[in-house]
Amino acid sequence: MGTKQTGGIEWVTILLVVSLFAVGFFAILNATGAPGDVEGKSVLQIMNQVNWSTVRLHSIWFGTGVILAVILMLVDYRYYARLTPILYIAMIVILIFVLMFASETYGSTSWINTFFGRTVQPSELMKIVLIIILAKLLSKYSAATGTLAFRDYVRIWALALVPLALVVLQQDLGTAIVYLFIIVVMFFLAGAKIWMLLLTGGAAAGAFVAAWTLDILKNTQKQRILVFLDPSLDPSGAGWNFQKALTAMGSGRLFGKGMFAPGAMSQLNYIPVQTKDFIYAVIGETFGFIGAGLVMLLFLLLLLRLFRLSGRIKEKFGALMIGGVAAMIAFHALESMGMCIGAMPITGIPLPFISYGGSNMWTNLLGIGLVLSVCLRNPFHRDADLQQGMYFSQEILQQNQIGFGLRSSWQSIVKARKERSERRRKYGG
Amino acid sequence: MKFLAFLKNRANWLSFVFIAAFGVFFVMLFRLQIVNGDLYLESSQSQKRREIRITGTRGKILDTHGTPLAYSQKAYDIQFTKDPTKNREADREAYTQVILKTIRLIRDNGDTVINSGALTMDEKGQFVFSWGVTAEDAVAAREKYWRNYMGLNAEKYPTAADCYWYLRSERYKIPAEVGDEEALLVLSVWQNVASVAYQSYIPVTIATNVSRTVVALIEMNSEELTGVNVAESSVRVYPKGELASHLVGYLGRMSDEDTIIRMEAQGYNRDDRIGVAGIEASMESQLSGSIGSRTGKRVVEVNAQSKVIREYAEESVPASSGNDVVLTLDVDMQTWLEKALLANIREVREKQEAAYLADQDRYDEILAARSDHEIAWCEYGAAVVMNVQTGEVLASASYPGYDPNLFAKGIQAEQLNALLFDRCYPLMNKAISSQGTPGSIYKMATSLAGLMEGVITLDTRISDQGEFRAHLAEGSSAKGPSCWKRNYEQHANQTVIDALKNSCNYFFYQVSYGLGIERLDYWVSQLGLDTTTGIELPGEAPCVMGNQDALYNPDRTLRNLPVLVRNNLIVYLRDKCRELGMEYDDSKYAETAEKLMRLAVSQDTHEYGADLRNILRQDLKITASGTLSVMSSDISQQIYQLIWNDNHTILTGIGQSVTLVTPMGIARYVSALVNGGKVYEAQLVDKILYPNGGIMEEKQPQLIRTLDVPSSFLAAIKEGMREVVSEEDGGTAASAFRNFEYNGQFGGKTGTAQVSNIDLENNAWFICFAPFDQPEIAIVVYLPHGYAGANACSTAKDMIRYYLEKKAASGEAETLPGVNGLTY
Repeated sequence: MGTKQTGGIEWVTILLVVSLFAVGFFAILNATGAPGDVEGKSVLQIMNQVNWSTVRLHSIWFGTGVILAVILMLVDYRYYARLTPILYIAMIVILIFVLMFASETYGSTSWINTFFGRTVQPSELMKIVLIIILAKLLSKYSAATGTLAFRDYVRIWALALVPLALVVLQQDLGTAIVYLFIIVVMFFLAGAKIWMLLLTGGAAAGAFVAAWTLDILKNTQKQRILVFLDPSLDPSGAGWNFQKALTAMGSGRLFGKGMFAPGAMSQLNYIPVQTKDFIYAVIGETFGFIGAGLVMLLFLLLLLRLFRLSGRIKEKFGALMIGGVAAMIAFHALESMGMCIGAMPITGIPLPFISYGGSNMWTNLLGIGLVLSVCLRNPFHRDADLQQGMYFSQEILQQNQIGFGLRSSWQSIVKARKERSERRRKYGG
Repeated sequence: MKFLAFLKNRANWLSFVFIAAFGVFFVMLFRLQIVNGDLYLESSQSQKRREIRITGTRGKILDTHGTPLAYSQKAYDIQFTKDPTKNREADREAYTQVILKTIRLIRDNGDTVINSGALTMDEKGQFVFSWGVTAEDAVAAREKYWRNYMGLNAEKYPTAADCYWYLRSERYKIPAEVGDEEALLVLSVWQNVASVAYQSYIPVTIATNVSRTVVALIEMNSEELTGVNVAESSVRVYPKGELASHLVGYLGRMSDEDTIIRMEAQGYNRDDRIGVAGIEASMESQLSGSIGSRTGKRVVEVNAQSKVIREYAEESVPASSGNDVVLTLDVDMQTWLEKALLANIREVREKQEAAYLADQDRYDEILAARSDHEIAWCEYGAAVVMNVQTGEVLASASYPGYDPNLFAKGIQAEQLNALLFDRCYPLMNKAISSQGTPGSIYKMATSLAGLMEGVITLDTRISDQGEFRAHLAEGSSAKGPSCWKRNYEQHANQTVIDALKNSCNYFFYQVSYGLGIERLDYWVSQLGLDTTTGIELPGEAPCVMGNQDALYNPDRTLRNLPVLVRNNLIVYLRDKCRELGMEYDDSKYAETAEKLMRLAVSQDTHEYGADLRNILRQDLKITASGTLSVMSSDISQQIYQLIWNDNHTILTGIGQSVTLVTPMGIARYVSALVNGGKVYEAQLVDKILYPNGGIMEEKQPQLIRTLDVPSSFLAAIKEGMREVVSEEDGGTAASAFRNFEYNGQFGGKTGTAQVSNIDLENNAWFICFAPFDQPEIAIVVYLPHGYAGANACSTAKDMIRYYLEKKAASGEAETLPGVNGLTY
C-alpha cells in the first residue's frame, strides 16, 4: 500500500531542536552568568545578580537563525539546486581568499582571529553549500539507477575534494573531518557501491601512510595529528584541556552540582572554552548523568528522525539534503560529546544548537531550514515504496519560479492540514 | 518482506550505526559519571585546592642592649602567572607584550628585574650560556635539562645565539625594536614559565622588593597586564649598614644543588633565601621562618587562572616567626672600635708613606729586585674587644666592610664583583679569618712555657749577647739570629718581666731553645693557640703552632714554602735532565720532586743521601756518579728547608717561623693570661629569644680548660705587659702612650712580624687588657703591613679610654645615693 502523506511542517524536528537549545541556554547561563555570592538571597535577588549578557547574545543568534530557517523552509528547496554552481564557486573563491590572505599576514594582526577564528568562518557556511551541491549532483546521477557509475563517482569526489583540501590547508583539521564525514555519508545514502567507498578509503589510507613515511608531512603537522589522537602528548595544552573536561564531567555524578554551584569547575573557569567546544562538560557537571544522558537521547532522537525522514522521501535531492544535514549534526554531536567523555580525540568542534557561537548556530539552523523545506514539499513513503525508484525533480523550477515557490509552500501547508484533519475524522483520533 | 525492504533502505543502516554509537557513548557516560563519579569528584576538589606555603618572619639580630642589627620588613614582589590554556602563538605574543611592558615599568621606576636566564651576553656582546656551574658534566646536565623544558633541539639550535634568535623571533615574538639586553630579560621570564610548565599555576617572580610606585602602576594597569600581580614578601633590613657587617652577615640564594637538597630536607623551598655569612648563616636554624616546623599553610580554592576564590580558614595553619638572636656585641662600643680602627689605618698609611719618601732610593732598589714591585701598604685590619672573664665578644671590627643591604636588595653583578675582587677582601671577616704571623705578642706564651717547664724561674736573668749561637755547632760558619735592638748591651740582666718590657728576642731565643718545640707547643696549645676559638661565625680560620707539621707535611695540601720548594725542584730537575739529554713529562718531574721532599720527614732525616740518589737513579735514570753527587747536594739544600730544626724552634719562641694566629685567637689568649688561666670559647651569641620575647636559651660561657699555673707566673707576665706601656719603665710601647690619662691601668704588648724584606710591610699587632688589677676586657688590634707594633696602639688607646670612661661613669651612677637613701 503506497500510502502517501504530505509532510507538512516537521514538528518533531523543531521540538527536538528547541529542546536542545533550551538545555544549551541553561548550560551557557551556568558557565557565564555566575551571580556571585548567593547565600541567603531570594531567587529574585539572585536573578538580578545573574549576568545575562552571553545567553542574551546566544538567544539572539538562535532567534535570527530560526528566522533564516523559516525563510529557507518557505522557499522551495529545489530552487537551491539551481543556485548551487554559483554558491559553490563563490564559496571556493572566499576560501582561497582566506587562505591567501591569512598566510600572507600569518599571526601578525588580531582581526584574523575574530574574523576567521571560530565566530565568523566561511568554512562553516561551506558545509551547507557542500550539502546542497552534493545532494544535487548525487541525486542527478543516481536517481535513475539507484546507484552511481564509477565515472560519476570519481567526478563528484573531485568536486567535493576542493573545499576539503582548502580547509586542510587552513590547518582546520576538525572542519575537514566534518566535510569528509558529510561527503562519505551522502555518497553512501546516494547508493554508491560499497566497494567504491572501500576503495576510496583504502586509497586515502595509502596516501596518508605514504605522506607520513616519505616525510611529505612536516614534523609539526605529524605532531598535530599525534596530539589529536593522544592528548597526553601535549600535557600543558590538549592534555590539560582533556583532563579538566573529564574531571568536570565525572564529578557531576547522577544529579549534577546544579546551577551556579560554588566551587564547581565551570564556575572557576577550569573547563576550557566552556561555552563552545567543551559545553557538554558543563552540562555533565551541572546537570549530572541525567542532564548529559538527556542531551545524548535528544541528539539520538533527532538523528533517527532525520535519517528516517531522509529514508522516506522519494525525491532524491531532498532526501540527500536531509541526509547531509543529519550527517553534519551527527558528526558534531558525536565528536563534541565524545571528547568530553573520553571517547573521541580532542578537537575544537561545537555541539549543535547548544554551544555558544553565531556562525555554527546559523549553519545548523540553516540545515534544519533545508530539512523543513524538503519535508514541507514531499509526502512520506514506506520503505517498500522507495524500492520502486527515486527521482530527481526540477519541476518547480519550470513552473513556479516567481516567489521562490512561496505559493506552493503555502499550498503544501494547507494541503497537509486538510489531510491531517481528514485522517483524524476517519480514524477518530 | 517488510523487514527486508526496511533493510534495503540505506538511511536505516545509518540509524543502526548511530544507535550503536550512542549506545557505546551512553555506557561510557554511565561509567564516567556513575561508576567513577566519586573519584572524579574528589579529583575535581583536589585540583581546585591549593596549599600555599607561608613562611614565618625571619628573626631579628639584636645587640646586647636590644638594638636591632637586622630585621625583616614587608615588601612587594611582582609576579607573572601564565594561563595554562593559552598556548597559541597569538597568546604568546600577547604575553610577551605584557612581560615587556611590566619590565619597562619596573625599570623605569628604578627597580631591578631578576635575570635568571641561561642565555646571557658576554662582554664582547656574544650570546653565551651561563649555567652558574663550571664542572663540564654539570654544565652538560644543566644544558640538557634546560633544552628539554625549553623544547630546543641541540642539533637545530646548537649555539646560544641560535637559541636566542629562535626564541626571540619565532617563539616568543619579541618585537624587533626591542634591544638584546631587554629581550634577554623577557626570555628569562619565559624560561621560568617554561620550567614550571607542568605546574603553570606557580607564579614566576619578575622583580622583588619593588617601590610603592611600581606597585601602584602595576595595579593601575592590571587590566592590560594580564597575568601580572603584586605579591607580598619580605626584605631583610640592616639598619646599621656597614656596622658590624661581618658579624651580622647577609642572606643569599642557595648556591648549589647540595645545599638545595640539604635545605629542602629541612622544609625549605629552593627559592628561599638563607644566611650565607655571619650570624645570618650560623644562626640560620634559629632565625629562619622557612624551616619546616615554622612554615604554615593557607588552604584555598583557586580558579583556573590561579586566582584565590575561597579560603579554607579552618584548615590553614599560621606560620611562626623565627627566633631572635641577641649578640654579646655592644653597638656603641662597636661603633667606636670601627671608627678607631679606620683612623688608625689611615694614620699608619701616612706614616708609611712618609717613611718611604724619606728613604725612597733604598726602598726602590729592594722593590726593583723582587717580583712584587708594589709596596704592600697598610689598607686593612681587624680589632677585637673581648670580655676576659667570659670570652664574650663585645666588639669586633674588620676593615673594610660592606653594606649587607646591597645583598638584601638583590646585588648587581658589578657590585658583587667589586666586592669579590677588591684587593682588601671586604667580604672577609679579618678578625676571624685572617691568619697572621704573631711576632712578639707570642712571647707571653714562651714565657709561660719557660716558667712552667723550669727552663727559667722568675729570678733567672739573661743578658743579650748579640748573636744567638747556642743552637749552632762549635765553629759553624752559620749566622745566628740576634735581637732587634742593635745596642744589645742595653738588654742586660733581664728577668722575664724585663724581657717582656724590652721585647728582647735574645731572651726568648734562649728560653725556647731550652724548651724545645714539643714543650713550647704544649703550652701554646694550652693557651688555645692551636685551634679555632669556636665563635658562632662561619669561616673561622684556626691558629697554627710552629712545628714540623706546620712547616711541611707531605700528606696535606702543600702551601707556602713547600710549594716553593717543589717548584724549585721541578725546574732544577728539568734543567739537569735536559743537560743530560733526557726529557720527561712535567708530571714525572713533579712526582719525583714530591718523592724527594718526603725525605725531609723520613725516619732518619740526617742520612737521606743514599735514598735521594736512589730516587734520581730509578725515576730519572741518572746514573753518572759525578752528576749524582752534585745533584744530591743541590737538592739537599732545598729539602733542608723543609726540616724542622732548632733555628725554627727559637724563631717560634718570638712568634716568627710558620706560626699563624687570628685576632680572635689572640683575644682569647690574652684573656686567659689575665683572667687566671681560664681558656674560654669565644662567644658572640648571648641568648636566643622566642618571637614573643621570652628567653629560649641563654648561652653560658664555655670554659674549655683552666690552666694549672701558679698565680705568680701570670702576675709576672701581667707586670711585664704593664711595663711595656709604661713611660717610667721605658717599655717598647711607652711612647705611644705618652701622657695617656689611663696609664698604669692597663697592660699591653706590641708585635711586629716580619713578612718581607721591607720593614714598611711588617705586620703590626697590639694587644692589651684593662683594668690592670681586675682585668675585664682584652683588646687586640691587627694591622697587616702596619709597619711596627706600636703603630697599632692608637685603636687600643681609644678603646681603653672609651671603656674606662664609661666604667667610671656607670660606677658613679651606681654609687650615687637615691631618694630615701636607696641606691639604684
